[in-house]
Amino acid sequence: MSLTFSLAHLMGGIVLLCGFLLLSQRRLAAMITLYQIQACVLAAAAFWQGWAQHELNLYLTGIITLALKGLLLPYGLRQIVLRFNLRRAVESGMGMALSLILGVGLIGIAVLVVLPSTMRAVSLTREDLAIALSVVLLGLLVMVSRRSALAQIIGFLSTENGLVLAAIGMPGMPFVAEFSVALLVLLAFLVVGVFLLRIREHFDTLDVTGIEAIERRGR
Amino acid sequence: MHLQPDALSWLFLGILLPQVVASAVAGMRGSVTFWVFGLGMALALLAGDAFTLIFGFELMSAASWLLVLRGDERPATFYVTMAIFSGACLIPAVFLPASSVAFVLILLGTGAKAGLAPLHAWLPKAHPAPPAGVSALMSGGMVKVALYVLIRYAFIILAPAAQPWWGVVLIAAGLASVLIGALRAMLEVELKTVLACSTVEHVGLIAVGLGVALRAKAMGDETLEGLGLQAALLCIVAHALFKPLLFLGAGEVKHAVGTTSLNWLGGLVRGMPRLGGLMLLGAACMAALPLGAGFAPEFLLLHAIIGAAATGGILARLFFTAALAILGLGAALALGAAVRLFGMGFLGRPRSLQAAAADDIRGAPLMAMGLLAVLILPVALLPGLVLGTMTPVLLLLAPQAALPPLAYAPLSLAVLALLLAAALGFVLQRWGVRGTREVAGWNGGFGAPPPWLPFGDPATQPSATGLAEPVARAIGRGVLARDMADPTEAWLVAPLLQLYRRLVRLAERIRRATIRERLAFVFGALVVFLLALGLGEGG
Amino acid sequence: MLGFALGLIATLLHAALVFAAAPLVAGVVGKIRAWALGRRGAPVWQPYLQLYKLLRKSTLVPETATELFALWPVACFLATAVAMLLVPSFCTGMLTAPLGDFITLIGLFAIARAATMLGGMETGFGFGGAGAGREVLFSIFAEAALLVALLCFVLLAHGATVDGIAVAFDTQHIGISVSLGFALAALLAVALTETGRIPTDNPSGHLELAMVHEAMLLEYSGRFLLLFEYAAMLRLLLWMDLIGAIFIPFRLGQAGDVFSWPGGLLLWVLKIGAMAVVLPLFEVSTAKMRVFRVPEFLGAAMLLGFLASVFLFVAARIGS
Repeated sequence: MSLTFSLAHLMGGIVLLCGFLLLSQRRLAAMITLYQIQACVLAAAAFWQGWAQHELNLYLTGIITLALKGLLLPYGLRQIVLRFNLRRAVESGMGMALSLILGVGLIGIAVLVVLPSTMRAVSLTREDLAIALSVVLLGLLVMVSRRSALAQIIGFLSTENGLVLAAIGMPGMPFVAEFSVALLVLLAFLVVGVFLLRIREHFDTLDVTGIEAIERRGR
Repeated sequence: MHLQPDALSWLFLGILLPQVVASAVAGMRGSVTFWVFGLGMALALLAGDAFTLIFGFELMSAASWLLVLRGDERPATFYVTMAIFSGACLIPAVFLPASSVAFVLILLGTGAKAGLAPLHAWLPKAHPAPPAGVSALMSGGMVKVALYVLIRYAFIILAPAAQPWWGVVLIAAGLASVLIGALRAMLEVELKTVLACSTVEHVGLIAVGLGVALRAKAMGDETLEGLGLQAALLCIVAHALFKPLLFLGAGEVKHAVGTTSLNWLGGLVRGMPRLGGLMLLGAACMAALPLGAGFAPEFLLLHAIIGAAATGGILARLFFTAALAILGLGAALALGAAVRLFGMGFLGRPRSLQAAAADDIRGAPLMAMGLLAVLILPVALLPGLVLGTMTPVLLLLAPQAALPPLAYAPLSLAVLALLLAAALGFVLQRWGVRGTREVAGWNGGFGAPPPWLPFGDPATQPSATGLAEPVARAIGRGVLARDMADPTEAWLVAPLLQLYRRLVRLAERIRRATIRERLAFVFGALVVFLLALGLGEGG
Repeated sequence: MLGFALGLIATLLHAALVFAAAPLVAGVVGKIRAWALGRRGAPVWQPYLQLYKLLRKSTLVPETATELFALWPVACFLATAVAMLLVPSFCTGMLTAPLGDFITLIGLFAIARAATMLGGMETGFGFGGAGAGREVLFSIFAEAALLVALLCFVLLAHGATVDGIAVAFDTQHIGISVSLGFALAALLAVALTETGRIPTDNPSGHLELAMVHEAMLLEYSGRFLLLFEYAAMLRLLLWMDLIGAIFIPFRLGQAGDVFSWPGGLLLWVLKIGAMAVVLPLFEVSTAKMRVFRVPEFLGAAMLLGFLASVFLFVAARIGS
């Protein structure tokens, strides 16, 4: 087991750890910080892989990740938090214990899915793939289990981090794909930002329960 | 009637004997039912054929039912229902050939009798009901007889048909018992109910050990088989000594104070130092603390689970990892329960005048508890030696099992502790200021209590309920049903009771039918019979 | 014979070192914490003076205490001190190494915890009981998390003694793996709880309602308080030793090889020093949790330990 693989691996683990801890956080500020750490570690992983695989594209991915997701998006999220005065907002969606246990269950499912289909692959790739899939699933779980629209966005962004993690682990992933995903995320973020403003104007809160009630009434 | 004892029978008889002696000395020797109860257990253990086994087993059930009935009627009815269910499972099972069906029936029958989840709800109700001597023998002895039947059938008689999933089922039931038993022991307020819930937990630990061994035996893993069996048997021995000790102590508390509710006890060590010391020993064993009798089995069991998690497929490994977490939760809860039992009952300030004026035990009860306490010492300090004497039993149950020496050496730990204590004593004597001065407690700066409350206001002292409140709030609601009742009561017993009531109503309806309805019923039956006959002939 | 003699000397040296250094570590942690908060702080040898003061003070026993009042501090100290002798500091292969099974260690922690809780209930005053109730709650998840994290080490090292794990991690090439990272996170959470540090408990808190560990010691004074306080200092060093021995086992000395001792000693000092700097910096950067958030914190630690094992199984190429 060479150092290259171990380090890449450890970074993947930290990305997953951040994804898991996102589930256990109630405060938006802490969630944003965790997301930022996750993105920075992801950027470091991309640089490391770029150095190991001698791929210029991966450096670019790393720079984009760092600039966009490590600095720009967290800044934007913090601005939203400040603007809507959500600094002390406490999330009260699903119970913490339940969502944590569900998170572990999802990681278990990811492992069980990846295991048989990649039995012949090198064990390290296997583990990386399992980690990436887990990060994606955990992000989706955050989106499902949270009520605040902002927390749902963070979950979405974390899901995207999982996809990038899978991409940098696979040699030969075209750079265009990653670049377009990054652009897509930025666009989505802008759209959602405007959307949030509109929600806020109408309902005076970012809690999506109000929208759900309207939906139900409409049916 | 055919008696044919072997090493396993002798081991269990050896476990039974001190409890019977202690219970008899402690005040049960005048009761004929008590001796019939003991005789039934001995008969079941010595039995050489299935008939004798069942006869002894049912004799034990019937006698214990009478004894429970004398204490309290409601749990007795619940108890006899479970005993009948247990008998109904066991009787066909012992005559079936070796197969999975027979094992499932044996597991249901003995599990219902031993208090294995989910068939344990009766135990915390029935065990505390009779006098302390009987409670002691029920928790320490009767449960072991049920486990004896389980061990004999699972490891010897049904061995040719053994399947790995038998062990898995046993482990799962054991884990549920550990979690529910330990959690309820932490939350209950009655001293004897706490002890009964702790019995459920220990039965769970034993079942986990047996399950690991059973699974390993079916899969041909000698090391794990030996470890699991060692853990289970040592736990059986330890539990059969300290649980009767605690139950007898609870009886003495009831005798001296008039209640066993932890919310009304307190400060008993002051008036009852001898009982306090004996109960401290029992509680330390119950909490599975090192240098107590309960630690060596826990140690072996955790190692067995860790060993099981190191082999096999990924699903099995995940299962055993989860099992390890549950055992960790259970161990810490058991520690909390034991600390709460001793701290609330025997330390602090008295919560009632009776508790303040309690007299220490002497005479026969002291002798009975002393006997059990003396027997605990070798199990606590020389578990390796005890395991050595059990080798014939282990070889009988698992001829190929590897029996590694125990890696836990309580004597060496005790020597280290003594050396450190000597050094500590020297430092304190040489440089420290000697002697102590008795003053009013600081109590967060509150003033002294008024003179008419010599021990202060009992209401200002944390109660047993209050001590358990954080646990109840954090996990009690997740695991237990509403009002901290047992989950099986809500999910198993209540629906069954409802079904039973419906059936009764139906039977009542039939009994009250008019003559025309009865005629119609008979006529309908005739038509159906004819139809079946016709169809049978035609087809 | 020579091996035994060297082992004995190493064990005695270890004992002397850890028992002498424990207050110093507490002092360093306190000093750095004070610096991080912008204060000057007490000198690093303050804990020694504190212990000496307690030794020379008269010991008060509340009227409502029972005869067992003196037993709990002694039991707490002895259990912690015995555990201290079992965990390697600067060298492996001490005489006590075969005794140091991880589960025995967990049991010794349990004794210390039980004695502290009973000490809290001893006098029957409110704060002690409240502290004991919370301690029970914390310990439930801490113990489960510790056991699950232990599983990961045992599977990697094929041995369950702390000494064996340290030797295996030092000599075999284990490499950096995701599992160990997760297990480290779980172990750190347990260590913070067991040693009563922020975010689960505050060792320098002065509000009785918010205390957990200190609340149980409120009625103790003089020699008895000395034992509890010294045990708390020992526990801090013990956990640092434990984490150091498992996660930074490089170049540990060998008891049978005198020439490896100085290197081991130097590295031990560096390790403990580094941890004594990191701990207070972490402490001042976080806030204390509410009591009912701690089970979530420790539950997350338990699940992390679980995940550590899961990824270990994945890496070991085990099919379903």
